[in-house]
Amino acid sequence: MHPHIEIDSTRLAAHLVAERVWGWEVPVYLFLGGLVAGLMIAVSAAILTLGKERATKAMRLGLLAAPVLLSLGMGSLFLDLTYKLHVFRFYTTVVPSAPMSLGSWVLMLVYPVQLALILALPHSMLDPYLARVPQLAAVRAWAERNVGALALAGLGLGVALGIYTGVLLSATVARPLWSSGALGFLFLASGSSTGVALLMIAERDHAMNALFAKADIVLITLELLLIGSWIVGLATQGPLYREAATLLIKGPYAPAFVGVVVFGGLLVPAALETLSLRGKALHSRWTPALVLAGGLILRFVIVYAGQDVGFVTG
Amino acid sequence: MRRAMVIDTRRCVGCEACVVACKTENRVPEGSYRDWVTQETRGEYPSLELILRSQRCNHCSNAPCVSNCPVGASFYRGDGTVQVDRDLCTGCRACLESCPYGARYVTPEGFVDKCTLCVHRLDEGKPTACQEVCPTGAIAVGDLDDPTSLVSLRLRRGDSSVVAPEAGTHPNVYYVR
Ligand code: SF4
Ligand code: SF4
Repeated sequence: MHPHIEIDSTRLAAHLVAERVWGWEVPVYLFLGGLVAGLMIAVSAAILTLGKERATKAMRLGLLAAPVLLSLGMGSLFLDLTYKLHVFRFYTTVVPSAPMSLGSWVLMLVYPVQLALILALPHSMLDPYLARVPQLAAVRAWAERNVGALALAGLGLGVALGIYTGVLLSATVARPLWSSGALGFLFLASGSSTGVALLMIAERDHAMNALFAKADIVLITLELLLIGSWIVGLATQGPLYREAATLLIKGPYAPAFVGVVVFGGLLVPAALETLSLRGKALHSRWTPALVLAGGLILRFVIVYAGQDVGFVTG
Repeated sequence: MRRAMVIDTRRCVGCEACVVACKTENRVPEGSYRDWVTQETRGEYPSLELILRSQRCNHCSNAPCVSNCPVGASFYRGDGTVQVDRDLCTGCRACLESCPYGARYVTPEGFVDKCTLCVHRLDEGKPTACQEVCPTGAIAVGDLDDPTSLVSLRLRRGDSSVVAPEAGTHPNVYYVR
């Protein structure tokens, strides 16, 4: 605020200004949405580039986990609604200008593609159950024949879902910290990286793990660049935006953002993955776990800090 | 019709009668406000300036609360005001996150509410509750398309401003000094 302006108001007196509107449910939803987007992108990209024969057990497990994780995320968003009876309203209209509306419809498209991909590449533990439902055989045969097209749809929907989780924030006008086009791509890169990280935790195939590690290093590098462009963009946009960026760099969120997210969730895992690719460190499941924790904290920090700086103070 | 509000900050004495009148008229729940008074002190002693502003939803022409509402519950009424349809509202609060002025609140029932510009009164030819009760006549409500309305006359005096124009929302609540 300008040093020679002092504001007081009815609402300030009632301590109503600067109340947080969105709590833990939204960052958890954004994290799980991004994670599912990442799983779909990673598995679809592997099918498209390596062929479905190379799909490993971990990828099949990842496909199975995706709808479960997505449902948990949607459950979290449902908990956030303060008028839950009207949740069906999301599906009685399409509002092209509202990311939350477009996102809800993307989520509805994601499920059938996920299920078709699961049928095309079933996990062995599913086989006995699938055999019991003969009607599924035809769907499965169709999915197997069209696995390339399904992977392409999975890739496209994964990218849309990943970007949406960031655009949901950047489309709100009132939060200077979120006011950046980079946010959609940052959440896409971060979601992809957490998806790859989850696969790395389950992956037993050494060669595939090395491939995942390489992909993750590229994604983390992209994330660092996007974080840089977001912060520099804010810092050069004007005093209010600079104030918002400062919250993350040296304000109350700096330990979580710089320490946990950038250092612990991006730089350290990227360094450990590089060392393990060069044979100088053992592959550890802790490395992808750091990426996952960093991705979750990133969303908490952005959602919470974003609500701390606004256009009016009174 | 383009409804707007023009508030003369030189007349305002900060009595907050508008706040109380609105709370009573619209049964605004405890702890929430549809309008509020901001007291801005500028400068350094002894050269100080005090600006009082009775604030509320600005019924923006480019309202992010409307564009971001995923179910169309926040909408332009076509008379220059922005309204909320409680039969559609899910309580997702995307509109609260999108309003640069913090003009909205969640009711105890769970849907979102805010200043309606008392359209239920305007439609009957009555003034808004805040306008009716303002003891200094600081608040004017009317049609900007009517060049003889008090809002048009006040705006023609020049030197009008809106709150946080940098947010790009094009408010329809103006302040003249
Ligand atoms: S002041 Fe806020 S709630 Fe009112 S129309 Fe503008 S953005 Fe929407
Ligand atoms: S809380 Fe209600 S009015 Fe606001 S964006 Fe959500 S559905 Fe629309």
